[in-house]
Amino acid sequence: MSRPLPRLDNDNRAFWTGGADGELRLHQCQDCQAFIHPPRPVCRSCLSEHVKAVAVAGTGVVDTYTVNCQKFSPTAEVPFVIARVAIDGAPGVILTTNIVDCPVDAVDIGDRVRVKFEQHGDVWLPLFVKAS
Amino acid sequence: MRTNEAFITGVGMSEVGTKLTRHPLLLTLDAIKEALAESGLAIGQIDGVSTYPGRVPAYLGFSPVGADEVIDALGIRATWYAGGGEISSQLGAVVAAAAAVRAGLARHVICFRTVYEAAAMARPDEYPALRRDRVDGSSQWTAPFNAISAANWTAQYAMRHVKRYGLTREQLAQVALTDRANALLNPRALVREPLTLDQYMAARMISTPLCLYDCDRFTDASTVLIVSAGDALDEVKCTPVRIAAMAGTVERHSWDQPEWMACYPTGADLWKHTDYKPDDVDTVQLYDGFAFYPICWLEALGFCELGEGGRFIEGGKRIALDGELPLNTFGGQIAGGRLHGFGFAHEAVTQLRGNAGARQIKNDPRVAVCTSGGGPLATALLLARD
Repeated sequence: MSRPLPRLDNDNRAFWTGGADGELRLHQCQDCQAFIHPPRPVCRSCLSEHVKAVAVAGTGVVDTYTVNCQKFSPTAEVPFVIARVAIDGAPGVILTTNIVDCPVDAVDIGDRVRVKFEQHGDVWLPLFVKAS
Repeated sequence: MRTNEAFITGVGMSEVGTKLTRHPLLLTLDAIKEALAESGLAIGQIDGVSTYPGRVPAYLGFSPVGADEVIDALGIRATWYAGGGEISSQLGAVVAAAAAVRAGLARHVICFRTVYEAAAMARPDEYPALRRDRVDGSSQWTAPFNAISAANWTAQYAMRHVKRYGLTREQLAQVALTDRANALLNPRALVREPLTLDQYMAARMISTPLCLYDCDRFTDASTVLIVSAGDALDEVKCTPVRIAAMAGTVERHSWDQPEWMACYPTGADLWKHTDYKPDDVDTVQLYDGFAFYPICWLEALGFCELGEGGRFIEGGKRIALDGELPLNTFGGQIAGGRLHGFGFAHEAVTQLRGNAGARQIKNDPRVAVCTSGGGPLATALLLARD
């Protein structure tokens, strides 16, 4: 499936390339431990600039989802599942993603999922699969 | 009359259609002329302009005309103006204008929203969309997952209502059915065909649980509201409608980081600025780019509890034109046309003035709520004819 890809910069590179090492990386404040997503060079909880990308477990829970049936993109095959996944160990961080490798009607709110990276050139997209 | 407050005086609207060939600046002019005629104001009395989201060169169909162009083209001498997208959704432009007239920065402000998406899509050579190799900004968090449409982002909130609160398709259908029924009585409505529940239930899905009839469609039109200062009403010939309260709370402009949509804090905040209560409201004109939004707005504004919106509109009688709380009496965006937020304020004013013709609400409505957005951005206005 062809996808629009993010332009890499110093703020987002850790997130989009962590998959090269099999790691889901999120920005975390080193002073108050809050997570900062989207990644920025300042903590939105305590305004500390002492932030860095850290690896999280790469598992999470489906917060909500939709089955997209409309061919909004000429290159994406429908139907497919779009979901918001609440990331384990990173309170407040929710990623929009796809749940793959299962029938579209097999996904529900509350499902446990784990990351599965899909490489597109210099970008590793964090997709998710159901945790068995 | 309360001289330190802001009022909506003239309202105007261009032809509403798809694939129009009339220049979008001229559609804007059509709506401005209608608003001026209604208010009795001349263009020389206009000293402010406010718009959302300003001219968007990368996607001209979305917003082909900016405040700069209107000021220059119409020879307006503006003592205050604003236009931009980083504001609390479309009607944020009206909030800004109201603040400006209350501060004495202008007396009569033209607020406009011009859309040209259907025409631009039909004539891409004339109105090209900028193509980028890569996405950035907020798009990077959704587009790589082919979550491209606002239908996808909205559908995820709607699915949570389905699973958590038991929202049914029959309940959701009442928004589109009400819109379609009201549009039959509005000569300017974009979609003037009846819709039955059976047709709705048989419709194809766009992004579950939203089906084809839950979505608005690209429209070409311009909508204008003139916001006037309370101490300038002696220059106006029409019945002024007071902006009794306004709210536009945004916590995080994002489709996935917030737990809830921005309509919830915005709806709650609206009542902090007024002595009016939800029970005083005669009609609600609630943003419905997707049919799910009015359900959330009804909850957010306190007409019912969180999660009860579906049951509140069940069967459709309560929100019908002759019901206790008529909703989107011009057809909303789903049937009235994607006027993008401004249509709701235009209709609220039209109803409060008794100018709605065949779709006029009975019993002399005096208080209305109108809203725009609801997802990551939201604005609510309480309008009153005192």
